[in-house]
Amino acid sequence: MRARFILAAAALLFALPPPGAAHAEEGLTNPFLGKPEAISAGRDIYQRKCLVCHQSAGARGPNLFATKLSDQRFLETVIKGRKGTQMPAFGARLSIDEVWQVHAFVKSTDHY
Amino acid sequence: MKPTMRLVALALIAVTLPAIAHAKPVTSEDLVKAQENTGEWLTYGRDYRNWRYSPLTEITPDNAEKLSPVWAMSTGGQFGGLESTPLFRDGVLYFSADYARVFAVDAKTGNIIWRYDPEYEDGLSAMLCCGPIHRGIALKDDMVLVARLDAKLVALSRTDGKVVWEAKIDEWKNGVTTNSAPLVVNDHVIVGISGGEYGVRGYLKSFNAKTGALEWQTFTVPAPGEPGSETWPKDDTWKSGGGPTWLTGSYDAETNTLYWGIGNPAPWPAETHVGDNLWTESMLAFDPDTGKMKWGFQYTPNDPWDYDGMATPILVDAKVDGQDRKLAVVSNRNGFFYAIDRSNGQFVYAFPLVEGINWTTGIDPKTGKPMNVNEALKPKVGGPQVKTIIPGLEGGTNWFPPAYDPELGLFFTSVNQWGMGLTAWEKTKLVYKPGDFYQGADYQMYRMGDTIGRIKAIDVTNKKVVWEVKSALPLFSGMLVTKGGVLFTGDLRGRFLAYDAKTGKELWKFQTGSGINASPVTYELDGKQYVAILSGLGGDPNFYYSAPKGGMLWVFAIDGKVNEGDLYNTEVIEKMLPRQ
Repeated sequence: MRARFILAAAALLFALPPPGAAHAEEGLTNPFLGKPEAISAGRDIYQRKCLVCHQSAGARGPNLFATKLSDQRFLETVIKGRKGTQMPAFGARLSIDEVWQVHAFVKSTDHY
Repeated sequence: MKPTMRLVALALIAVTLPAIAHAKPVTSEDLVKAQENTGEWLTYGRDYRNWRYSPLTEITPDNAEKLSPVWAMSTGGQFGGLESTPLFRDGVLYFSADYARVFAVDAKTGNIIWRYDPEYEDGLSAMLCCGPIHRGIALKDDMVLVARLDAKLVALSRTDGKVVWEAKIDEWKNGVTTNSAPLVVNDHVIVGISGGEYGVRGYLKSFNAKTGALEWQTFTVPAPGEPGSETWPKDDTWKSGGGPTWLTGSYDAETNTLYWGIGNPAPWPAETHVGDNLWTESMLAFDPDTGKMKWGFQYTPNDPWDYDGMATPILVDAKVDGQDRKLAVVSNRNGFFYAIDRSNGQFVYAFPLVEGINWTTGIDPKTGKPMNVNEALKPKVGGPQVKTIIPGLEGGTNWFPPAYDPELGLFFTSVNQWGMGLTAWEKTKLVYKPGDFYQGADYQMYRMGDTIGRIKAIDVTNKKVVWEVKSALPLFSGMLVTKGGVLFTGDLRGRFLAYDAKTGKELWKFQTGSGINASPVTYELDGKQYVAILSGLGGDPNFYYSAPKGGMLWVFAIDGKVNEGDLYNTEVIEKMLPRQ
């Protein structure tokens, strides 16, 4: 099951524009936004994978609860990492759905 | 680019730079006698006792105000924070920067002689609880030894930085990482590990300096049936029970004994690991030839506050209560200063180094155990935040190394006066998965007054603080003290500071441009005394202060002049700027 997610992530990455490229207005949107179950699942993932650096309001990494990244850019950043920073690529460790769940959590009214 | 190709590319970088011509091997005897070597700095704590006490005398309280920069160099990269102690041998400064990058620099000119840039697999950064910082390297024979962040031990040629051998310490994907300086004793390269927040089971490993072969491994958390296992729940808790070994230890050559500080149990909530949890939060003594444990002393049983007992034991001979004692002393994250008899692990004394400690009413003067531990300050699984616990989890003190002046009988350390709130995770979240963050509690640090940092000078014989200096910000820099009577350290504002070691009077300061969370060293080159410090805010200090990031090695002297040499511009990019 997990392998399939990862393959799906890899397939998506081919479709994503290269880092730094201009993004179309109609970029991918998070299908999980506002869904309570996804927000709850996202909170768990945040605790296990993100909290160590981003803490509750940013620390070594930026405050994700105030992110201004578009949905697609958030997904790209988590999957591919951010070169030249301490942000690693999570593409091999989180599925696209899991990244969307984290995104749904940080964009919700819930807060760590 | 495939990883193998990257390695080839990096190797090419190394060979294009000049090599070190006359590097004398660092022998086992050199390391045992490191303190007698006036001008060089051969091992992490300067000598096996970790005194960080230099016999150099050119810089004194009378002339320290004349200190000025001689040269500086940028460590470049991602500015992930510098927490290292440079070493000095044969006119060359060797040091590690963030991501365990290693530099060999000509101390006369500040020119890079070679550098080692490890490549890592994707995802490693998510396994580093405290950022991509690195705390130091070791020298032995013709090699520089570095424990990479991905739990690989690498021996580099001191001459040109090429890899001599490489050994796998552990699988980083399971949460084991490494960032401290190995301790070399004879041909044993002894390394500790990080990963308490990822539920590792702590251990020390020894590798053969000549071959890289594993010699022994000793766990800090006993398996069922082993001595100490009765202090753990009778389930699998011990397998992910913490007790990491993430700072460098000490060595007593007279008795062939290794001393090491052991970290906290995992996860944090006390009720998940009922019992005293030996040998977490302890000082342990080992036979370095076999790894066999000789004795242990535990500071904080069943710790839920991340009071990591990992402080490096400083080996001190001092008179206490009229008796000559062979001590191992530490400034502990739990807020107390401890003196332990290093011949048998018996408690000698302890006293508080911060005000308002409330997790215990004090240390029992006979047993060394904490008295009346405050159960109300232990956060309950799934329960509300508990506050304000003093000290906060950053300590007391923390990893930054203290110094000891044997003539003054003073131990110098920085401590921080702050508190914290803790909220334990819900039970359903407390499931160990290799490589997942397994802290078990969320924390919030709190300021308690107008100032946080304190530099303290402790009279070991008389069990008291003889002077202290307050600092508005928390302090995270190590100490250096010299026979000349000067104490050097830094602060998060980026100031490199010199004090009169006897009185605490500030003598001199210099703004280095980024926060200082590294440790100063001093050495002699061509008859002149120099002082060096790395400046680059990062790691945990980065959580509390937002000084500009950076990465510089600064070198100072009194009326120092740089010899620019003829190596400048040897790194011209030929393709872009060919000679006409």
